[in-house]
Amino acid sequence: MKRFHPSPPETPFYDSRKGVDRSLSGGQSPPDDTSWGGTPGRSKDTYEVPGEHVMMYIGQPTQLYIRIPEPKEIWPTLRDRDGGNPDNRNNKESIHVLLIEGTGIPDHDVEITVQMILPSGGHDHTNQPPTEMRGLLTATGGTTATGNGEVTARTNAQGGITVTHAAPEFGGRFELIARAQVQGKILEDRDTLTVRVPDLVELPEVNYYELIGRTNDHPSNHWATQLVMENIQSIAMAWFLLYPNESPISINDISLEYGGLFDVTGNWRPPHSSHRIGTDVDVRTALPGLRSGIPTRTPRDATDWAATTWVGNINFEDICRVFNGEPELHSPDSANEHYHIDF
Amino acid sequence: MKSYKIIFLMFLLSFFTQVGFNADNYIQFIPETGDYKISFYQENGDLFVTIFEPATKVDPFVHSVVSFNTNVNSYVYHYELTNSVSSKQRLRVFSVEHYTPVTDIMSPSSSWRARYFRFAPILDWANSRGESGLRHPKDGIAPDSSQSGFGFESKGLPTIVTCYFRGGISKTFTFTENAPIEVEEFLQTHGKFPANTVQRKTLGPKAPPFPFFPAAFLDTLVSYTRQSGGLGWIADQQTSEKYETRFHSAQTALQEDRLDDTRQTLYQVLQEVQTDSGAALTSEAYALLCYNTVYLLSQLQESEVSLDDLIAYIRQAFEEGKITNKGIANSLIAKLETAGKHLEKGKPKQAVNVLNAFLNELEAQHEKHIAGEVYDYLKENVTALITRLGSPE
Repeated sequence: MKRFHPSPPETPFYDSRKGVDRSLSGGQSPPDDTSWGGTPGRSKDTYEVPGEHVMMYIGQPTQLYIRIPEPKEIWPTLRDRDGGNPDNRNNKESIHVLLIEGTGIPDHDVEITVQMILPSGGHDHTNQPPTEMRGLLTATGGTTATGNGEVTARTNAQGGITVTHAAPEFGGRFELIARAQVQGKILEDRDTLTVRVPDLVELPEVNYYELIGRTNDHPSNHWATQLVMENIQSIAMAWFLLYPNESPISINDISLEYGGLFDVTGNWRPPHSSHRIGTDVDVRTALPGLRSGIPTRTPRDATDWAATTWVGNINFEDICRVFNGEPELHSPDSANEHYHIDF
Repeated sequence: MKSYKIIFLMFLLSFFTQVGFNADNYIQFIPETGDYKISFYQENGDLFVTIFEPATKVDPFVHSVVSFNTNVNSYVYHYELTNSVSSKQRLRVFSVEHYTPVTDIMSPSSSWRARYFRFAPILDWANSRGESGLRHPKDGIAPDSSQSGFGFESKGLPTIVTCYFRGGISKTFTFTENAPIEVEEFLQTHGKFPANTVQRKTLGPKAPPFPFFPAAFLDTLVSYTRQSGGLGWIADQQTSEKYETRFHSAQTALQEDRLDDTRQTLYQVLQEVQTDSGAALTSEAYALLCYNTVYLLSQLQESEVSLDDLIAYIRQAFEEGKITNKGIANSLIAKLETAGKHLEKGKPKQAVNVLNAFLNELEAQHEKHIAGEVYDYLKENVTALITRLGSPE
């Protein structure tokens, strides 16, 4: 026996690509370009999206929209010591929320939340970052409200809310989710924002250095600026050619794929504090009796590194300097002892 | 009541560790050693203390000598370094700017390794005596000692450049990631090249200007004379003024087209630098004035640029976009070729007429399709050629 399901209510909209009126079955949203790009001059059932000079045509069913303007990508929020976020490192996005039912629904609560898409940006954690670390939201509509990672604000007279999202310190892909309850029904819409330090490149696997330090939480930890990649490769090549009897250098953490806070322990918190913009490079040092690396302790042939003394390797330090890197000793006298090169 | 006290103390601790400090609170200069003590509370509440030892506790002196290798037409640059008795560190790194490529690098011994800076035109020698580069207490040159044997060859003329010295620090700088920004800024300004070096002036190679204008190069020689006086490379004001007067005199003669007088004055300079060398001029001043004057003289003699040279120059200028219209470049080249054919047939008057037509076209296209430097170079050399050929009757 053939079953027939009742047809869901249809949502009419103007398809700007085809130049005709179309409709979608209930629950579906019009395609992006049409929902925000209807025909200018339509006086009935059209709305101007705050901050964008585009119009949309909406049918009768209640609809909730959240839209992030192109290119939907911003920088993570950076510390002042990493250069902060001047104009060319924009870390804020204005997001538009619209609640409508034929006309805009004014003075209605809408909840906006931020959720990280995992895995993304180099983070392969199983848990979400704490809400308070997902970026500051400032919503302006009928009321103004702020909150870290989540905020609730009221729509203005046109049913709109403008939300400014200051990026979190992490790089990654984030979903911005709008939710509202209208007449007992929960409406929801989502859009995706990418937060990243652009133009980082991954250090390739080659035979004159070794890449180390990958973890389950951060399976790819060797992303650098192009210049730093060339410099660290030059350092590695110089070491390899000048000191062929030594182990090739072992390169540990640089930055994650999208940059931003590199929570080395996988708990969404420092350390690392640095390693955010592809300009800090960790290089393993030898611990006699325990592991190979740049020789820095004497006596070299000791069997217990705890009985040795750090003197540093000035050949390596000099090579770093001629390639514009300043080597520092980090985590001294511990199993995490290493050279940190600041480019 | 007790808990209130604890909360108050925690507030005070938080206040002083997070908001109440500036760079002076974190960084303390130690006058006895010349080092800096850096201390701050980390995010986990632990006090982090480290010593920043600048690599600048040296008072170095460099002596440079330049000679000319006639076999390969290169200048040979030699450097001798002295670490003064007042230095508190051994002199471990010496770097010198070079603005032309260098070859045949010389080092005093295998423990001095030379390397090029990637990010600046600088050649760098660093000393390490320890096994596999491990820091050694006798790395570098001890105070009150000298070391010669640094050098290289280059086609570049001697010019005044900066050289950089680093003292040997006793230990790698130990640091952590989460320092206050004031400390980070202090290290950016004190810890990185070139701030963490002692700088001196010496000689290094530089390509002569191109296109070459003799009058402008005489200004360079005047400048070298004044700078040499300021650096103590010329013993007294009187000697300095003597050379300045010579160069001004040569410049006046050049501007008045008295080329022989210009040459004569410059030959006089060459005789005088030989006489003054050692007593009134250091080896640095001698090299600057002598080799740059010799080069100028060679260019004055070679200022009789051939038509083929000019044609090659126009082709290069077009390729570099300094002549923006191929038709104009071809037209200029055609006129020079025509002038050449007239000269081959022994008809200088016709050649001069064509060269004058060349100058007219050059004038017409100047600032439209021909860059200023190309216009200047062609005008100067074609005018000189016309002068040599004699004006048409």
